[in-house]
Parts: sequence; C-alpha cells; structure tokens
Amino acid sequence: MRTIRFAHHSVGATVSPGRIPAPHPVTREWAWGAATGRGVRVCVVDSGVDATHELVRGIAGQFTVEDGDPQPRVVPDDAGDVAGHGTACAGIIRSLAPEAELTSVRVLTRNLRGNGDVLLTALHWAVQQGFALVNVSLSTRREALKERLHDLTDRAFYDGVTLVSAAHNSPVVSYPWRFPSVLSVGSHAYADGEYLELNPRPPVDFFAPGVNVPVAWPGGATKVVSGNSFAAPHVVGLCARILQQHPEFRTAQLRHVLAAVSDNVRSQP
Amino acid sequence: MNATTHEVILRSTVRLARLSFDAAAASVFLYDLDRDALVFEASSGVGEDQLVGVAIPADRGIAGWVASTGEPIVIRGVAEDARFNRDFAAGTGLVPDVIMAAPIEHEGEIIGVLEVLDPRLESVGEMVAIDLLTELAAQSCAALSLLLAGRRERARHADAAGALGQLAAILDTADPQREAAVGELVGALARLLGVRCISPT
Repeated sequence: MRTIRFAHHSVGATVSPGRIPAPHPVTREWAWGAATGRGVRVCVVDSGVDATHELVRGIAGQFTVEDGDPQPRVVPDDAGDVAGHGTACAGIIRSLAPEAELTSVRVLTRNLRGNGDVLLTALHWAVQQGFALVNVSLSTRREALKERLHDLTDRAFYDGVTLVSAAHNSPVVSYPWRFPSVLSVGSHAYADGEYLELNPRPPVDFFAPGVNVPVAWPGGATKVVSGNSFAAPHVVGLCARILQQHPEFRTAQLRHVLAAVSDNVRSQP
Repeated sequence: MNATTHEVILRSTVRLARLSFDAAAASVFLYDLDRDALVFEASSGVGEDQLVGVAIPADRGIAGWVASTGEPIVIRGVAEDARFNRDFAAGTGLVPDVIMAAPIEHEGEIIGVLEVLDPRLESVGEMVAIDLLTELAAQSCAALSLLLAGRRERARHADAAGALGQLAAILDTADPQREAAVGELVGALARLLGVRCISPT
C-alpha cells in the first residue's frame, strides 16, 4: 500500500554529532547570541510585501520585474503585495530578525509562461546587488531553465549571496532548491520558530516550521498557513542573526552552523 | 474524448475534491492563455457554478500565486481578508475560513488551480491533505489539458480572418472542374509544410 504524505517534510529523524565538523555542541549563544539581524540585507523574491503591516514594519525597497528589450529588467514597484504570500514570508523573517533590512522583488506576473524568465531576472538582480540573504519560497519545474538557474546559484554561492529556497510541497523535481549551492528548507510541524532540524537525507538541508504557521497578511491581517514556503523564511531569519554575529560567514559557514545548532543533532541512546 | 467528456471529468474532479475533504465547496480555475487569466470553470457545493466563466487576473490572489509558482498551500483565516470577501467570495454565497489550493500541471506546464474551501483537515492533517489534493489535481490534469487544447483549436477555426479560415473559404468555392488546380495547391502546401501528400490509390 502506498503511504500518501506531504513531500519534503520532517519524519523526526535524528542526526549523529559525527556529521558536525566542530566540537559539539555548538551553542546558539555563540551562533547568534542576542543578535537581531541588524544591518543584514535580505531580499524577498515573492509576490511583493505590504510594508505597512505592523509585523513587517517597513522595508528598504520594493521592486518588480517588467518586460524590457531585449531582456526583462528590475524596476521600482508600488503594487504592494498582490497575493499575500510575500508579506507572510517577510513577517516571518522579521519575527526572528527584527532589525534585518528587507527588500522585496515581486515576481508574480500575469503571463504564467513568462515566469521563469522573471524569476531568473529577479535572482540575477539580487546577486548583483549583493544581498547577504535571498528568500526564494518558490521554484520552477521547467527543465529549460535548469542550467541557467544552476549557473546563477553557483554565482551567488561564490559571491557570498546565500539563497534560502523552499523545497517543493509535492514530491517533484524543481529548482533552485535542489542545487547544493543553496540552503533548501522543508517543513516540520513544531510550533516554535527557532526549532530547526538537520535533514539526514538531502537534497533538503533543513526543516523549519511549515505547518499552521501564524503569519502577517496584507491589509493588517494575520492568517495561519501551511507549506514549505513558510519554512524557508524561518531559516533566513536565523541566518540573518548569525550574519550579524559573524559577518564574514558565507553560505558554506551558514550551512555548518545551522547544522551544528539543529535540535535533532544528538547521539542515539 | 469530446468537450462534454472533459466537462464531466472537470465536474467529477471538483466533486471528488469536495467529498474527499468533507469541504463546503471545491472549484477549478483553468488558465486562459489568450486572456492571461484564470477562469472559474466548475464548482461543487455551496455557490455551485454561480461564477462559471468569471476570469481573474493570473497575477492576483491565492489562485494566482499557486498558478504562478506551482506550489500547493493551505491558508486559514481567509474570512478576515476584506479584499477576498469583496472581490470574489461574497459572490458565491460562501466566505470560507480555510482555503487549500494546488496547481494543476500537465507536462511541466501549469494549466490551472484546484481549490477546496473550508476542508476538514483535522482527521488527516495539513501535510497529508496537501499531498492528497495534489494527487487529485494530477489525476485530472491530462483530461483538462485536452479540454484546453480543444478550445484553442476551435477558437482557431472560428477565426474567419485567419489563414486557415481564408483557405477553407477558398476551397469551399472549388468545383470538380478545378480538381487539377486544387491538386497542385495541395502538393505545394505539402512541400511547404514538409508533410507527405497522401494520394488515393
């Protein structure tokens, strides 16, 4: 009998401290202490952000991608959040890193078939702008985009731009979360924003809260949502704290520190 | 499969989705390429079919986000969203508190969104529910894809000013005396389009 289950979520597995390349335990006090993400530049690539929401409390800039000749280009945007999803992600980041500097790039467009190019353009811009962290709570299944996305995520990795990408909610192959140059995130069901699990069986790297997550929603509202989309910004928030405490860290170091402080790293009894 | 068969499948899909989750309603939006919009195609339950044919911009709302990203999602507390009430839900007679939505994908392309309104998720949990809805969407996608392709084909034939329409009009005037001329035309077309000309033996 086939067991139906939500894709890319925690099954509660533990990970041996032998996987951690450091004396264990690594403390959260050392990892981020009282850091609030101050001065860490974060880009949210999503549906836009409602900057007036009290759980978002302002953002540094809002942009979108528009058709251009010969390529789409990133331009200032005043549409706010056209779906609610981006505001939810921004609010989650704020809840963990209240002093991080947030910037939004809206990638929702009417032409569904053009969305791949829009996503590539937005990510390329975010890498060029040198954001420390980019929240990518979406993915594409289009094989035609795979190589360009792969090159782009590699470039981000080498440039010190850390992409944090939600794994697809369904058991399908999509990108960019599957690339090892990004931090990929699935869901667990614990109602604790700081509860983090290291996945012993990649390609998903970490599990963060993604089930019944209370979030900000445009118009001053709040909602309770489920999906891996909402797990990724939890990891972004923790990364922002770590980067305030350890500003020279890049993707590789963030991966190691997150792994070392994960709640499921312990010796089997 | 003809259009009627596709519509039967469409109706079956929404009914199955509603029954699977003991939901107040379920509905399907299909992506209209020409209008760049999501069109409300069928629903089961409260407000059944009241909004069939209504189009919403593909870059707006939960359905737009799901269609754009291909990600399924569950949202609770939708009733508190004033924009949602005013623009769409109130017209159906149902303002849901919970929306669960999954993309309908065919061969890597998103062709629509399957939504369930006020599903009962307590017994299965959100994780299983999302996966189950995604499976329902996958099951119906092939038939829905054919439905859309059929519509596009009919739309093309219906365009009298289009190239095919003009050709059809010319051929309608051809009588038996022009058999040879039409034969030359068919041969030339076959060479132009790189297809084999099938001749009766």
